[in-house]
Amino acid sequence: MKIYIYTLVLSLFVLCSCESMLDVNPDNTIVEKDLFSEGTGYENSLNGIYKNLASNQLYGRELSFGFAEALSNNYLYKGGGFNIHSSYYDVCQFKYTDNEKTKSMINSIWINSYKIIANTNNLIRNIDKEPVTKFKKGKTEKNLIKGEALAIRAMMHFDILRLFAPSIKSNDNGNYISYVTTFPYYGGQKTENVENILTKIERDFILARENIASYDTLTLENRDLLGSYTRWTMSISSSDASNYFFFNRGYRMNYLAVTAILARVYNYWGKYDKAKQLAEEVIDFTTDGKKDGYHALKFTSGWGMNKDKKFSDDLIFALSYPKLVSTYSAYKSGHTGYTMVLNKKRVVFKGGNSDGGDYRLKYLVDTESDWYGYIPLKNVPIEGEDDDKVSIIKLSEMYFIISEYYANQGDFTDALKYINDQRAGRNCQEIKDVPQNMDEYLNILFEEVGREFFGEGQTFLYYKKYNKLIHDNMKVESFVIPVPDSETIN
Amino acid sequence: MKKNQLYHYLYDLLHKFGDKKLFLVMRICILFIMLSTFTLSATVKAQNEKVNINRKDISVETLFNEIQKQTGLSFIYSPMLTKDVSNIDVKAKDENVSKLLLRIFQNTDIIFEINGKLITLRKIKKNKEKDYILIKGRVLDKNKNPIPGATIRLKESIIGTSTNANGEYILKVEKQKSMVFIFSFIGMKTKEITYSGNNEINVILSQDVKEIEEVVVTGYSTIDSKTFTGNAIVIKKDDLLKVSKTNILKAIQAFDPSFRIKENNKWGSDPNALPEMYIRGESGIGTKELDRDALSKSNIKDNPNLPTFIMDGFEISATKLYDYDPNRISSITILKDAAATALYGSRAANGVVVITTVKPRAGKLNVSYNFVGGITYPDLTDYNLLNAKDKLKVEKLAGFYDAEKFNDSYVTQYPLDEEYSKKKAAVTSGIDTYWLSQPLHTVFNHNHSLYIDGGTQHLRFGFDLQYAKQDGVMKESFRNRINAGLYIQYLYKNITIRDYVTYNLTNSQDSPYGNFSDFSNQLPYDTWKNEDGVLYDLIPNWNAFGGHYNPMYEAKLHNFSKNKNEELINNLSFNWRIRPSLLFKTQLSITKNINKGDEFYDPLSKNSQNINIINPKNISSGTYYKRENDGTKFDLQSTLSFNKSIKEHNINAILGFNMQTGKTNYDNITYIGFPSGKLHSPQYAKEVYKKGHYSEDKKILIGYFGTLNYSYKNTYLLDLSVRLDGSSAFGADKRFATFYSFGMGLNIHKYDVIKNLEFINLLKVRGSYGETGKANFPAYAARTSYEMLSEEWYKTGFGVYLKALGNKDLTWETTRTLDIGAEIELFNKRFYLKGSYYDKETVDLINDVTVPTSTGFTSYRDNIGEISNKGYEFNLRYVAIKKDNLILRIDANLAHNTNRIEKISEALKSYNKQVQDMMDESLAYNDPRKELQKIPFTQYVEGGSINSIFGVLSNGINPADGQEVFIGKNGELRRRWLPSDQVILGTTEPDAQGSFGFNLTYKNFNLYSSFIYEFGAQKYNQTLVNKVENVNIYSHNVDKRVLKDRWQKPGDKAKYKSIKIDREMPSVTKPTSRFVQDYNMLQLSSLELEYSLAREITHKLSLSTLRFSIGLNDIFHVSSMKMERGTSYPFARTINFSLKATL
Repeated sequence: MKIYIYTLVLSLFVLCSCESMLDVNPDNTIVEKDLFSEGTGYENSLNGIYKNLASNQLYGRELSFGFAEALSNNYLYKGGGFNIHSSYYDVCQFKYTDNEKTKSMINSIWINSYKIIANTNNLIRNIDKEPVTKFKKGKTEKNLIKGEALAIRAMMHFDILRLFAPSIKSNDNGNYISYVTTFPYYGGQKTENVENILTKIERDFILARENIASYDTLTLENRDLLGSYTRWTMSISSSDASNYFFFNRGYRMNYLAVTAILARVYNYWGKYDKAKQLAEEVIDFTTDGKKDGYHALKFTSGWGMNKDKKFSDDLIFALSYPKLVSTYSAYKSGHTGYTMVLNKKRVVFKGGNSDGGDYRLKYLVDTESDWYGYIPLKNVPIEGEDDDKVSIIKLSEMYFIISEYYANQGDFTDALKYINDQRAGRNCQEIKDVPQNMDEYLNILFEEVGREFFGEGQTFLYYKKYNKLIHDNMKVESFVIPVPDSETIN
Repeated sequence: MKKNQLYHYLYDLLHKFGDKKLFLVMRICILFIMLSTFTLSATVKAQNEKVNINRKDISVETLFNEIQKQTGLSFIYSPMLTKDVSNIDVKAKDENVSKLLLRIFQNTDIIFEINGKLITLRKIKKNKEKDYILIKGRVLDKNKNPIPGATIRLKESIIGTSTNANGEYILKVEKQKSMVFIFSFIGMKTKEITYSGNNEINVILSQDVKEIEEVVVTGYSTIDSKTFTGNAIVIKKDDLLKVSKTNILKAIQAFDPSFRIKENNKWGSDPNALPEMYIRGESGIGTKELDRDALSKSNIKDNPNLPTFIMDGFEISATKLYDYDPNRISSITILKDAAATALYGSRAANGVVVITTVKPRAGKLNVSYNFVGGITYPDLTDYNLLNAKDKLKVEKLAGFYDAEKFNDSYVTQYPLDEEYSKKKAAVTSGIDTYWLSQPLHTVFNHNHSLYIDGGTQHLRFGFDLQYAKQDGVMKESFRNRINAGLYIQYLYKNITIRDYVTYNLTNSQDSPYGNFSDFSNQLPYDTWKNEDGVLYDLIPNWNAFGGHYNPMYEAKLHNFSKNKNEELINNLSFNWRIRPSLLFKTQLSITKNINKGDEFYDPLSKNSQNINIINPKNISSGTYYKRENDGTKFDLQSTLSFNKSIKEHNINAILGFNMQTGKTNYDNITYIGFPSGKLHSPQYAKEVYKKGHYSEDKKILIGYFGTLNYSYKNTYLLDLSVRLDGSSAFGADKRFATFYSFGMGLNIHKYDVIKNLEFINLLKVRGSYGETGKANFPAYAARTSYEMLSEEWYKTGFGVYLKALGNKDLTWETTRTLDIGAEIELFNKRFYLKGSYYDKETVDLINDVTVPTSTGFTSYRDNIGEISNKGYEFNLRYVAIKKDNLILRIDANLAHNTNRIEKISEALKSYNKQVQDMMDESLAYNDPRKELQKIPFTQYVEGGSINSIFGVLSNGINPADGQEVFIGKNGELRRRWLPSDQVILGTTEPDAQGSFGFNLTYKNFNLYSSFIYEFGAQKYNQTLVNKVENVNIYSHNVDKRVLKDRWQKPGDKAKYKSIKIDREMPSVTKPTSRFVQDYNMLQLSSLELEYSLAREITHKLSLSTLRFSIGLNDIFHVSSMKMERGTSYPFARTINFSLKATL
């Protein structure tokens, strides 16, 4: 009998003595330890980051055609534009804190950006500890994932910096945002000045570029994946077509994208020479590696643009957002009072240096409904075409960067040449009159930027970079969007 | 003859093989063959065959041959069997064969059986004394009335029976040397009678008032309350039913002054508003007021103050208990201190309520039926609204019809005169709509419970069925329940297996009339339909075109909000009594719960929940919200208990293991666009507005525990408990935590000195200290987890994204409780007093901590702050009269609790700031948050309490201009309300609370009463704010005090601000000390008269019990504060009739 009792008592305790039983997960959630137990977990985490970059709160709307574009005043906000209930109505007037809706929009941009950063931080923290054998393609893949995460972290910080901190030109040494690299992070990190943040952005980008280069540039086969057509597809003759993670490079932070965005950073920073160097590398990049070989990037032809409103040939990096078209449709119709109508005074397609043959005029705006202005068509695909691309950086910006380098050297002839190169790509005639000073040059540049980047949220930042007011009623402080209360509540 | 030889032959053959088993089998086979060959008529005759034999000294074989010759009967037997029987003398004349044989084998161990023409002989088993006797008798009560259903059991055996309707019984037992019979019946003292040779035993059982009270059911064991050092309150079934026959939770309140249900002033007596409750003060913050879902009727999910409910050993939800049939309950034990609750470890900090249900009794079939009918009607005594005539008078006096009083040059006198005369005409014509009664009705509710049980000592069963219809006083709101259960118990040797399967169905619906305040706001001279009786969609305005909201219109649409909850529970238990002192027990409970919610808004509805309100640009409207939760829970526990008295040492020890796992899936889907209100099937929906939102919740809890209850000479008492709990909700490093308690006690009355003072029956002092925990928060709060983005893949594959910011350092919230107390019982148990003092300190309080959003998150869970609750409790019982037919018992109890926030975190400070900012924000006139600015929000400060009322001190109304003057923190006077001037103005926690009542029994009558009281609390009188001072007098009906007490002209010493002439914008009075009032309350929660029919009468009706009662519930409520009660749903009063019949 005794033996029975002992067994009984023992079985009672042995039954459930292992602690691992307490590791439970709901089916739609996964704990980090389980996620990163396999290499694919890192792929999933990276995919999740891209997917959320393309959300409405970030590049899917607010940082492209939404909030960031409303700031540029490219949209009409009275008479045919937004009505007063639209949160963009206040944004157009740089009223950031008057209205709860606007405040919550800004707050949501802030928190979602930092959530992307938190995701990259946790990925980077974990991947550093991993052996290369965990990944399908070994070291190359580990480097690629880490590199892309680093680049996204840097890009996200860069865009927060551009919105929530003053530009270099304003010579403000104040502390605005913090560069977060740790996870889990519960707050408490000090904010830093713009110069320091830019240094950290640069450091991350340089490291990212090295890591991504080992996949994108070292083999001819992979270089070819960056070609103007292959960037956006899965199809490949290669035997490992099942590894779809390694294709569609245009939808990911590829080598050209890192290089181009780093050029953008240097340009914003005022390090024009470094910016130019990188911009040239992007323009000259050939898929076959030969100096005069096949260029990965080229200006999209008129015939192409007719159908492809995102001009994929010169698009270096875009996010995929299948809901873009349906999200945008609410701003397209004329009855809602939320309609996004381009302000003719800002997006100039008549007079000045505009050109009747401009592909952007022909294919990217609706001139029929130009009672008040133009309806932008970048996010309105032609029937039957499915367009999910959210443009992040394009070839044209590389030409502007080089042009700005020369302008800041005082060489306006060469500066104009690069603007004209870009214009040629859009089927515009050459501008003949060389600008005589910086102001004249900037007028030409801003006009061109307005035509090139409408609906992409870049125009405001061009003005900010040079500390030039968008219109006379604007105050220079309006360039800095106040950090939301949710950051300072503690 | 030949047949007989054949049998012999066969027999010998088998015998040679010597295989007895085979022999047996063969014999049975042969028997069957034989039986089938004889006819039935032969069977009947066989026993009556007569023989004539007169021979001496013959062998058995010879005798059998003789009988066979005379009758044709054959014998089957083993020659070995009869070898001891020889040389018999037989003298039979026309004697019955069976009688003859009986005589012959009288003094042997041989018995025979006659089957048709076959007589089988066999041996009785060794026990020579095996002899059955029939014991019979009656069981009666003191008044010589029979007790049906009483149990009679032979001690130390499983043999027993129960009495019939006449109290009679017959029990067949094997005769033994010494036999003791145990007679028992619920509510009666058990009696043991030793068999003295008399086969008729009549017994009189006497009432046992405290039978159940004497033990404490901890859920893991049952301990004699005299040797227990923990603090527990035991409630008996009968007492519970006297307070409420329909609502268990409300009834518990009457027995324990520390068990309190939060008064829900908003939702009143809504049957679908689940009460929030706590024991001994609140120790957790949970969802803060600002973050609370305004539509939710109660805050019961993940509530940090909710006690743990255990029914028959398993944890159940508060909702389940709310819907449970009180008739099924056998006892309720409230465990309060650490010594009593420590076995529940991480679930114990808020106290544990242990419920045991009625178990089936063996015996003949018992059928018991219980009916409760109730008339419930609304209680509007706290509403003081104006009638049409007075309302118009108020408007006139307020100057609404005097153009000069408007600060607006566009207002001219003529239209004002016109409007006034129109209203006047309406009032004169007799229009005076009593809006309050429109959504209300008086309802008749009924509740039927049926219980059938019976069976043998080995196999018992019980079947219960309940149907309860509960309509609310607001039209079309109801909560109907069906509960059914089947209990089966099987006893084999020392093993008992029990299975109880229950099914509960609760159907509920909210009133389509919506919010009661929509009706109380309406103007009495307005009507809701025109002269033709056609419903207005908007009530026409008096002064302009258009109209305003008509709550009756919404009510007549096809809106609905329904909920259906189905639950299936199977409890299986296995008990193995290894030795008399050692019991092994394993229980497994499986719960399956499906909850479906359906909410529909008619296409014509103007409710804000209707997503696309119909308008010329949008013709498709109507919204359907569909929710479904699906949960499964397993609860396994095994215990080994040891119970032995060695000399004067009494040991009661348990070792156990417990595992709980639970998983719930949530699924929500929203449809919009319906053809009409009637065609509301989701089938017809134009589109899915929101795709199913699917989420899941999972938790595992593992616990190991041990406890020891030891007493020496029943005088020195000791309790020790320890539990090791692990939960999946915590980070990997902090998963397990140990909880413990120890208690000591002394039965002073066992000392000889006290024993000699005969008037002291009980004098006990006890004390306990321990640490318990709680984890009432959603799973996964502790761990960094990723969400699967499965709905859409990114271009390069499947994605995951961070969902929650984990905190691996999160630890259990622990509560340290010190509890000391004493009990005394005097004068032959007529006076009883129990007092206890406790000091409960909750540390590592878990709550959301706000983080800077640059973390990527808004909050995470952390341990913050400390809260203490200190208090004392008294329970008193006094039997004032105790005569033969008359008993008067008085019960009273009282509790005091002081809640104090000892330490708070930065997060709570930032929450305070959030509240202050919200109060200070200047809002547009139609901003819904304006309503929030009128309410005092709790802020958390060290030294304050969870129940503090915050506001600014007021210096009253300035007689010069009718505006309020405030007192700042440093005593300076201000005209402006500053959020930083807010101080604690009072606390909603009373100085003392409790209940009292009496129980009078006279013959077959019983009168019971129970009052609830509290005093010394403060409350913020929201009625004065909303209906007197902040009211828009022009568009709302108002409280009668509006005219009397408001400032009107300079020099008035008024209580309330001046009436604003502006018709549209009432001012906002932010929390001020002017509206903080003392709250003292007395409520009659139950008054019941019961009559049980005398047994002689019930006997004639072939019933064993028949009992009638009439009761009044919540019939009266007085308080020192005049405030509207039940703003969104009124309170109700109930008159109950009940009937109980047992067959």
